[in-house]
Amino acid sequence: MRRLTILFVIVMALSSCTTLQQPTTLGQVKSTLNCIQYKEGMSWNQVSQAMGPPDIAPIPEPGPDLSKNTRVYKDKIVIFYIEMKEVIEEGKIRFHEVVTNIEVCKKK
Amino acid sequence: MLTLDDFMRKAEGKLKVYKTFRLQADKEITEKLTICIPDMHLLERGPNDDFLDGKPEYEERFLGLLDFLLNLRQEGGDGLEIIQLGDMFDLWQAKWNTNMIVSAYPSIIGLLDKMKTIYVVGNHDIDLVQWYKDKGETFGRRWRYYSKAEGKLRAIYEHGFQADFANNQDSLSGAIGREVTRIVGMMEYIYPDIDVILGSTWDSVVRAFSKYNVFTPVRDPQGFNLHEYLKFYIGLLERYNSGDTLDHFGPEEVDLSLAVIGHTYTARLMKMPKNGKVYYLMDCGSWVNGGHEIGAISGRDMAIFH
Repeated sequence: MRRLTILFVIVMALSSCTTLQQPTTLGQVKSTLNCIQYKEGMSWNQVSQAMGPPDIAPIPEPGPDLSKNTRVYKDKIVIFYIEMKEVIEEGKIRFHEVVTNIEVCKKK
Repeated sequence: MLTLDDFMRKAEGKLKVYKTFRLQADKEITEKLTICIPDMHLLERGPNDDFLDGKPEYEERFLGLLDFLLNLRQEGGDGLEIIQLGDMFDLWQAKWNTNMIVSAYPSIIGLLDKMKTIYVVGNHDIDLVQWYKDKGETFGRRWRYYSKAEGKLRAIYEHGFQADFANNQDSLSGAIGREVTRIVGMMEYIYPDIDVILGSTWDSVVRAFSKYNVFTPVRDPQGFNLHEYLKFYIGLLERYNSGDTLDHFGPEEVDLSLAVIGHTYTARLMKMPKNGKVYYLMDCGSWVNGGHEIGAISGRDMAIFH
């Protein structure tokens, strides 16, 4: 009985801790990060200034254009901004989540 | 305003009066066709809960209801009012708060918003009014809602946990109830149906005590209760009618007769005369664990539909 009581108290205390945890806000997440927002046509220099040199610079994909490149960062944080978009499916109104914005971040 | 008969006719046989729960009030209760959607507890059981039983057809059925209500809304405009009675989100058990619930059920959330649904807060989604309490942000959630007829408040809509000893979040007993729910939630990892077993055991105990009124036979000599919250809500309506509340309504604006709630998962509709007035309590049931009920009120007419 004593063991059962101790177990109950431990479980109660542990679950109380989960109750005390507040949900994380985006502001809290971003307070420890440096982020850059993706926009089509943005300058590469903006990215490299914010993120530093890439970890991997692969060779170009097959084709005549050597200027089409990719740059890879490992261990960066990506934030997707999501909204709801109304669509019609089989004549009915439905909603899908769509990405409206992306931020790539590194720890300060 | 559509009558309940019009409403049923338009549903083309998909809506039926649940048990015998239909009655006429002694006065007008609403000036709009008012549809009340009870507890849904989205994602209480993880990413594939489909309203707890893991049945995708329940989600389809609910979407079918929303499609029907959206058509009515587009036809009837402001003559239709939709109220979600709380516990739409299960923030006690769902992982990642509302965020992943929206991801799991975007069409449900989107359609309810599109219909300008009025959201009342329940004990499982009360965090929505607490996260940004200091900033006054409640995500459009209300503690309770009212409807008017003939210039006076006639119906009050709230979740129902306010009447519940173990779930009233303003009380210590409610805080303990929340902890117990969390512990049971943790035990589900070991035995997934533990909450169902404990819940039905508790219900049988409460039902037996409630039915035979073991605790308070002197105060309630008739020996059984029609609804465990009936006294609470008649008391609340009487207090409102006499101006004895902290709300800003004066007694001349208030003539409440009906309380509409969810929370218990057991649909019921009843009337009780008291002190020269007739009071009504509509418990709209649930969309959890196989429940598929809604409450509907039009003028004097009210019913629970399945």
